Amino acid sequence: MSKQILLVEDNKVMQLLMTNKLSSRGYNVITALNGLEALAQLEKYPSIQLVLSDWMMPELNGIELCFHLKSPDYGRYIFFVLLSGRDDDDSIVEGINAGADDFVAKETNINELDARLTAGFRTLELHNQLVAKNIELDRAYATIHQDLDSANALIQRMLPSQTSFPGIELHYTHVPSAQIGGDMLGCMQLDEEHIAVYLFDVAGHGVASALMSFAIQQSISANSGTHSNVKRKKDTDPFYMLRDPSEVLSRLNQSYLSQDNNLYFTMVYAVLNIRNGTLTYASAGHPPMIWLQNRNQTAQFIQQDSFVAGMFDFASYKTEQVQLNHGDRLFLYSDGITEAESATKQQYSESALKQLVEDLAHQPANKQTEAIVNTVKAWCGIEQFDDDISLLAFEWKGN
Amino acid sequence: MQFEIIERGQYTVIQVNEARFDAKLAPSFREELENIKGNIRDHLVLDLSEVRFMDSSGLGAIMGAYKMLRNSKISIVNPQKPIVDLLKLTRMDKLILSHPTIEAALAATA
Repeated sequence: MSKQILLVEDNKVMQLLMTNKLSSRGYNVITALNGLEALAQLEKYPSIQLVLSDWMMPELNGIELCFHLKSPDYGRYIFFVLLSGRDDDDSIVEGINAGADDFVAKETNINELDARLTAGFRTLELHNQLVAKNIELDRAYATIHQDLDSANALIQRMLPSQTSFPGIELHYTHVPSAQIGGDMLGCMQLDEEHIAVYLFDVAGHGVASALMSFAIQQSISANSGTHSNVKRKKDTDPFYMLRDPSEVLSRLNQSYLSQDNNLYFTMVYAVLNIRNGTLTYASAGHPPMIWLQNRNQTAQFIQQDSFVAGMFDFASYKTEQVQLNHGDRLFLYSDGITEAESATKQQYSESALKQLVEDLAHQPANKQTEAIVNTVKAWCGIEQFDDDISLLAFEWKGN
Repeated sequence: MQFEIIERGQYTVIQVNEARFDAKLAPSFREELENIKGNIRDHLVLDLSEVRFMDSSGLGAIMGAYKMLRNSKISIVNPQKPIVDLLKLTRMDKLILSHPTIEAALAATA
């Protein structure tokens, strides 16, 4: 840092004398005859940060200049040293109030003046380092923010685009939290008769959860061949078999067993036979599905107690089955919606969600998930949820 | 104090003194456990009387404790309804038994 100083002094002889003294100590001295000139010089030399100013001057005196330079509106950090013959207490109080950083009597010898100015430059150096660090931090923060936004956009692209299949119509609402999260859902046609529908929630927030969610989504949806996490090879026509939902979960559990105890996921994987309406499913520690029956417009839970996935190597899962009727709807969701909190810290709860599904049963399927999420949002009295929200509903249309 | 730790030779009690065992509390629980794990002998008792809500991070911390202490017994004391439900849903109630009091948890060891 160059040792640039703005010397403000209306007495030309004194100005010359001090300039010589300071120059002899290696300072680069720029001068002004009063406060107004000082402001003009500061504008001309944007790198000056140390001002050594006389007290009594025409136009704009030292105190007024100091006050101006120390106001929050002045966009530069200035170390301000008041120079004066007066060193009585009242003047010093006035100077401090105006924001002066140090006081030097005019007759002070050059050694002391040099030492004080050096101290001033040390303070400036610290200040400037701090500012630079803050700028760096702001940049890093902006980069992280941008990365999270891009990641969120990628996650959105992993959501299913095809939602209408023969015999089944699917709707979902997926709202990622401000921080990126680990909720994901999907559906796919396994063969002419079977559609798989699933939803999972990787615990925690942030990049680690999102990456894991991304990977799991890939593991499930990569089913082009006859051998995958959802299909198994067979020697006879049609040369593949669908894996049981419990087997699908077991395979995912083994693939994602983590040493890091933070990362695990809960999941429901269900397969609907679109010909006869049989739904087979397995759950890994996931909140219960809600089954809205068309016949009497009532909802019930389908709960299966089971270990979460990615946590225990000994975990096994169970396939169960229910028989749907035409027009029945199934709802899969993550705990983000049931644990959403009101202003009074009440949680929405699973039973309230089940009730809401019943209350909104008259809505067409394509409106219902959004209506549910909006109702919960209004109940919470918030604009953005703390956690990921995902809700998937499908209706069996019958054959 | 978020946690109270009582070490009694054969057994160690961690009392969780927070209403919410969530993403905010879970990291300090892990840290606390990491600090004392060398002293845990036969039995770790988690007193959850005060906990009214546990989220997936809280559950993760408890599952982590179970995995870390494979050779010790773990019990939970006085879990409230939402915690009982969560432990049941995830079958953790099969791995870690719950008891109404610390005394009952210790008696079950014998």
